[in-house]
Amino acid sequence: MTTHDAPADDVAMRDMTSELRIIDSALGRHLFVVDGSRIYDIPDGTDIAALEGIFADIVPADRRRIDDAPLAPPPLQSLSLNLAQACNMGCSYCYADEGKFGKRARMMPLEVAQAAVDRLMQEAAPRADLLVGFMGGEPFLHRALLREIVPYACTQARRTGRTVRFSVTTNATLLTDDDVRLLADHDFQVAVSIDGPKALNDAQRPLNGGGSAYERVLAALGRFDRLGRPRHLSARATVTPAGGPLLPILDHLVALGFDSVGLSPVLVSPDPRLGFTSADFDRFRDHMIDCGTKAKRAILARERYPFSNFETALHEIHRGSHRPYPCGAGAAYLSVDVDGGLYACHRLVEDERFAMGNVRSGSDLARRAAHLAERHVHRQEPCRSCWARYLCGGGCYHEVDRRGRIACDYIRGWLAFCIAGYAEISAQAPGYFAAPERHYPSKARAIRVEVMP
Amino acid sequence: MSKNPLKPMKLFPRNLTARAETVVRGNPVTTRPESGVENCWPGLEFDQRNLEKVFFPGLTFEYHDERGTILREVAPGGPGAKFFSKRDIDQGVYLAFVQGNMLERSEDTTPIQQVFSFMPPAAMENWRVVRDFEPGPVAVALCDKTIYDLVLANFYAPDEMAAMFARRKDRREGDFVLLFGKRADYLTADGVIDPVLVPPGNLTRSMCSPWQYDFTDCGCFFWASNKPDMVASADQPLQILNFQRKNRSIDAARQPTDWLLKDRGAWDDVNMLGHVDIIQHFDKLKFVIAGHETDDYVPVTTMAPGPRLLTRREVINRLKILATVEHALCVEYLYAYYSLKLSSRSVPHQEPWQEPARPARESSVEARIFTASDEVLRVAIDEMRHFRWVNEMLIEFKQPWVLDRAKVIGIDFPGQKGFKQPFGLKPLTAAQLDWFIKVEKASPHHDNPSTIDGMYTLILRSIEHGPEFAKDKERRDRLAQFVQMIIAEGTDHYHRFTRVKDALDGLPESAYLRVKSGPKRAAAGSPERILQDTADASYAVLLHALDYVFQQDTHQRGELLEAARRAMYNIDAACRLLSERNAGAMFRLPVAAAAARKGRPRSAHSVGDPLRPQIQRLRNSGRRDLASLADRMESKLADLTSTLDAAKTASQRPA
Repeated sequence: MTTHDAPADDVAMRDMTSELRIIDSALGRHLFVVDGSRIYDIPDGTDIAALEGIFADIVPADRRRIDDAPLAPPPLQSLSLNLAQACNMGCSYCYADEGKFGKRARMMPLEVAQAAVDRLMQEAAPRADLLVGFMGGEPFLHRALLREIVPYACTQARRTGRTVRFSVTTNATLLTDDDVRLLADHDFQVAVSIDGPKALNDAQRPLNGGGSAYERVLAALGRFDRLGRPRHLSARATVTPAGGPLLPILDHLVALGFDSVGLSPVLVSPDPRLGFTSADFDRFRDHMIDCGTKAKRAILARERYPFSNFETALHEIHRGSHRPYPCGAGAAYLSVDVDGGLYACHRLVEDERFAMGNVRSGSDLARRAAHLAERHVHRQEPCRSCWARYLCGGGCYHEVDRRGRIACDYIRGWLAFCIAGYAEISAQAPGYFAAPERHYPSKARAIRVEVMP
Repeated sequence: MSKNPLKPMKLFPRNLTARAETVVRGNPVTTRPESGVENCWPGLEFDQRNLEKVFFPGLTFEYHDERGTILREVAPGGPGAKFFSKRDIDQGVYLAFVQGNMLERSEDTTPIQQVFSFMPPAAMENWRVVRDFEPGPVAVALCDKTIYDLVLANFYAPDEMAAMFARRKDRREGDFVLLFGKRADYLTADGVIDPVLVPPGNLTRSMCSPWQYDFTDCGCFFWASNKPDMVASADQPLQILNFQRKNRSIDAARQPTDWLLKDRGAWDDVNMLGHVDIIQHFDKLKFVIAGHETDDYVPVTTMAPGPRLLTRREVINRLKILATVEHALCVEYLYAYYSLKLSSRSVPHQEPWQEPARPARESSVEARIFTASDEVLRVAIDEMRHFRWVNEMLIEFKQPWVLDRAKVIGIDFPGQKGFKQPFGLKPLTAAQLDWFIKVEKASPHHDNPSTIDGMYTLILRSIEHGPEFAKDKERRDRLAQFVQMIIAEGTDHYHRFTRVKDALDGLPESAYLRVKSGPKRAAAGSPERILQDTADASYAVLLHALDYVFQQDTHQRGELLEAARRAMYNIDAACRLLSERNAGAMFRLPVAAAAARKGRPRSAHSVGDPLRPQIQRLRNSGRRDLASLADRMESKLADLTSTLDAAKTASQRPA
């Protein structure tokens, strides 16, 4: 029996306590211990009540991995620069309101970008590996600044004994040959927004000036193949509740040759009809599990099918990732708006409640500390009693702030599916976790031979 | 819940955190078949060959026989018992052909059945075939000696045997007994090696141990896992210790390239122990601890009751003295280091602690000086760390830190007298080296309080057992940890200096010394004078940096100290140039360090104040080499102050 056959609320998913969870997979029965996100195989028919006692003994309250103490703001490690708070597209679901975040369209001046980089160097730990991300709006509307600031960041990092990497999130409709070379030369992680096949994508993602955004993305992919790929090229598809099954979308985007493809449901949108409601999430979970099931089979068959939602979850589960926050926003990560204001993350720019200083005078340590103190998952309801709290961390600050925690059942169902999938894959293909790239055969395919007797 | 809840059920930890959590009594994970090191058939943990002896259920084969793979036992009631008596087995039953599931290529996912003939002389090849069998059906064709001779003469072809194996029924057919089964998977349902199939002791009986097996045949100086031949740590480059070298004392540590690439062949022939040597002298092969071979194990914590414990006040007083002693020793070692004929190829370092290139020719004078200088430098850097740790302890005691330098290095307390030696900067003469060895030597049981080591030991005992320290357990543990680290490294320093002595053994001082006297003030206006002043200013910057760091009440002092360590670069650069001119640095103690708190740096920028005028002097000297030094120093100084600044900013976050 797979978890796919036995959805979240099934008997196979009995909620024993908020500390332990039984999860069944095709491999057998597993115990998920919330403290430390540990996974054990347990014999079928295990006395469930005994397990609680064992783990209470093994992990007494004073030895728990995560206590109530909030994280002190760590040194900065990554900064995203909203180069252009403007966009050449008019996606109706966009949380950023075409990048303007509810204000007029603006571009980041060079001195703000330089001050942001300097600020990162000043507030980062010595010898840290830093990440500078470029967001918008559409960052390539302000490509002159991008071209200027990348070498500047490299120089400043070298001068202060750090290394720096770059990422950019783009709609890829404006990329020129020179842009593509820049991304390849500086080992960018590039996330391309594309929602699926042409009809769907172009309906959801209209270009302001007309024409097909899909065709332009294809042209950009051609440029990457011709001129050099960046370090990682991923697709990020936004899913609205109006869409149907996700598998055809995923299949389509995987076939386009992205290094990974991720799906993301709309929760916050200027048009409320385009955002998911609680009622939509059961269907969404089933569609995600369809995608995950295909990805799982592909991994077991050593075929590439890079569904990043699933693969990221697998690797986090393998590591036993456990943390009291959903992400690094306000901690080691901040986002810079066009005026140099610092905010907890790129989705929260221009929201004064998440303002955290500015690039000239420095990050506001008190506000960052208060943010982290307030958002520790132990202080969130109903998170503090949820078994998935250290995997989820309490949910995206932006979405929770705007919509509340409406996707919890989906998150738990999806994580349970991923945990079961992890158990199956780690038993049948442990090499996938030891060295994911070596797990897949080289392009020259092996010839299958029949088993004789 | 039962009293022993773990007993009735088996929990298999699956992901990494679960695996890390499960620490149970019993064999270490390296004894598990899937984690055993098996680069070679006698693995480091067990001998894989012994596992495959029982690959066919009910039959036990022997691979270690030059005549072929021989049937040794049949299980009563098993498939072989019907066909072979004990007498048959005594007379010799041979495994002639075997069939099993095999992957043809590593990228294949589905195995196919293949037939192999089992022939000597490559008896181990037979084992390898069995080792490669995937789970699933296996078949064997067994015969007596007469038939086996025909098999050896290629009288039977594997194709014919494949046809015979097609009918899968145990039987005697023609010249062979054909048996069919399923390849043993060796594990019980609980995932441990089946003790019925493989009794205890069977896996290790031919294991890779020097007094037991053919271990000089391993390609890369393998040793059992407690004696690794490659050792890497955060502060040291990869090092290879060839435990098989004949010369047990000199020049143990080398770079991988020396061993593996350059003169490996020569080493094999001339300098390495052979089978007989190793078996006869296995007890001379030492353990590798913290990157160095040693046979000196001194337990730190198990001491006989010694002198009375020190009070908190006495511990503080001794630490204040010890801080000055560590400072003084560090400077003595540095002076000695720069007195050596340092290799010009190692200049300039990117960082003073970065490993310079080792001379290519082993046993050359250059290589021996390299070994000696490298060891001295490492000890000097350690001493600076000890200087820091002692001060960290003082801060922990809420005492002012001490940057002064001892005028006398010695032990002189009521009831605790030891050696006394005036502080002095001398080149690394034989006499000076003997002093270094003496001062670093641990007393045999660490409880002789007349040595520095003994003094730390007494402090450790006092902290661990003194009633004044019992209240705050966390603080006590923190303090004890500092002292333990200092004691542990002290033992290492003794060994390092002994190695220096070995490396320089037999060389006249003129062969390795460039600076032949203590520091002498160079003539005013000479380049040497400018360099001496620059070295002193850099020394002052280092002490200022430490002072600045200790001023910060911070949880990230480690990072700040790492920044302070960067001040070493400029000292190194100035001292090297002086050394090349056969002159030594003065190492004059800056006024600020001598407890004059007025000169204390208030900002990261002001840490660099003493050096800035000197940089200008270097520039104005009209000499190109000095001007270029000025550029390098300026950039390093900027690095230092900006790093201090950044680390300070980072440290000011609320804890």
